[in-house]
Amino acid sequence: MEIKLRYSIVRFLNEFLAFVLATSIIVFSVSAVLLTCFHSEDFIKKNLQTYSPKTVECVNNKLEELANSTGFPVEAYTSCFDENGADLIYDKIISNINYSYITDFTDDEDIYQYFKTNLVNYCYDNGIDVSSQDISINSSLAVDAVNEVLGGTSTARIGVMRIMKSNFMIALTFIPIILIIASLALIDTLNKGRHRRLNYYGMGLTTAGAVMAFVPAFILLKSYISKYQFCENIIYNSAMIDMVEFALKVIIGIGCLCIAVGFAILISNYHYFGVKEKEHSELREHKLKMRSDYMLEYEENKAKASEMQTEIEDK
Amino acid sequence: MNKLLLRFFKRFIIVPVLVAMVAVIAISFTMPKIINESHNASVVSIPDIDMSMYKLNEYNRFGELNAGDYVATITCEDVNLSCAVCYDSTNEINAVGLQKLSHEPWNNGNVAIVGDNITNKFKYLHNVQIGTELSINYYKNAVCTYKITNVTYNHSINEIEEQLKSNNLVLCVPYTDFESPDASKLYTFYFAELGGVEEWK
Repeated sequence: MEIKLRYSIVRFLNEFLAFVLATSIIVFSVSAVLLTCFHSEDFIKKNLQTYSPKTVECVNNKLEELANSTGFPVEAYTSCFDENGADLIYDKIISNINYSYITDFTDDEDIYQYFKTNLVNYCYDNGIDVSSQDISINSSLAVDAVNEVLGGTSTARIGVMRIMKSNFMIALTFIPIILIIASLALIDTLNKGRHRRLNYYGMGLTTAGAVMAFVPAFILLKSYISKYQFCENIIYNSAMIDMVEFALKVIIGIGCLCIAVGFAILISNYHYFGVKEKEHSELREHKLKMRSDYMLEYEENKAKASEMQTEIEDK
Repeated sequence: MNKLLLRFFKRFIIVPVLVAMVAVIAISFTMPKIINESHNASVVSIPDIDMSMYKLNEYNRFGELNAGDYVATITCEDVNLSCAVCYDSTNEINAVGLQKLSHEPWNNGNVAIVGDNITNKFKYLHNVQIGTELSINYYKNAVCTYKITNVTYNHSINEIEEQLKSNNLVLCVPYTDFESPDASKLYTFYFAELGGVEEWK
């Protein structure tokens, strides 16, 4: 009874540690993927560039509206802002997104020079006679238009980025590493280094893998991320949705990998114990056979002895 | 099914799938709430004005006020605009400034207000259309409604006085004049005509 109870406690502890292992793997993988993706300015820029045509369209719509009011040639305005201009803007806002700062283009000399150069070139190429003061004033207005369309608090409102920069996120990446090592060591100790510890490693990995594969797949399937509003600016919001969805796909990949590794461990263990059980049963059968042979021989000898005894008595 | 195979299935299929299902169910309950909250948090809503931040003095004429005194609250639901207006001040963090040249609408005067579009002061004012209605709640005096009539660009600050002669309300939003030697600003003017004056509530 005591042995049975001890066995149950050890099994419960093993399974609990397997859950700790699974949870730690999940937390570590998710936070590591998010930190890697969202800390990379190249990654943010690449995702923003997907929306360059949309950015150009939004800015040009605003510039067209302004040109209609100011009397400045509409084509001059709309043709001077292209995807290079969008890239210039992205370079300015990436760090604002990364550090959750407000974006203010009001005094941005680079964007002003970009507009001014393009307006001068357009007017020169198309023979439009516009004074340099007009160019200057309208370039300043264009910078204000960019500020209205793409500036403001949007870049500071992306909560995910604030979380990524917090100490909490760094703790969420490093504490699970300690927990993973501790749970692996404790499972090993509880099982005294025996082969069955791999069962719990395998179960932990498979459980972590299943959660990391099914949950993000469910989130993507239900389009939860595309319904989430990261900020009011449609372009930054769309880029953030793409970034998070990419991170979820990476997590699904890691989940599948964990399932594969967990399966390999469990199947090899299943094979190992299968072989071991076969050996045991063969040994048991062999022992039983030896015992039955012995008993047979014993019975025979006993019968012989009894016969001999009878013979002696008869004599 | 032997005991070994049963254990294998338990560890590879039953436990992981059960845990994943629990997580999926938890997500399906919590995510819609999180999504709703994100809409509430990120969609720009009309901010509440915290009156305790301002110097409140009763007045009948703007001239009775000191620089920085609270004058009114300007509101436009169409563009999520709600902002305090302080007298003769452009440096207030949470308020736009009423120009000294302004006169009370209940005395047939016209009003000019200057505010930047960097912070939330006049950030979304550029979304107004001709005909958009906005209201100004003059502290303990009147609630005036205005209708946007025109938007013009590339003005200097000196033009306000001239524009005030023919317009009931001029909202001025500055932007940088990059070629200006004295770092002066250019302005976008939003003109509005007075629609009605109601008693202050």
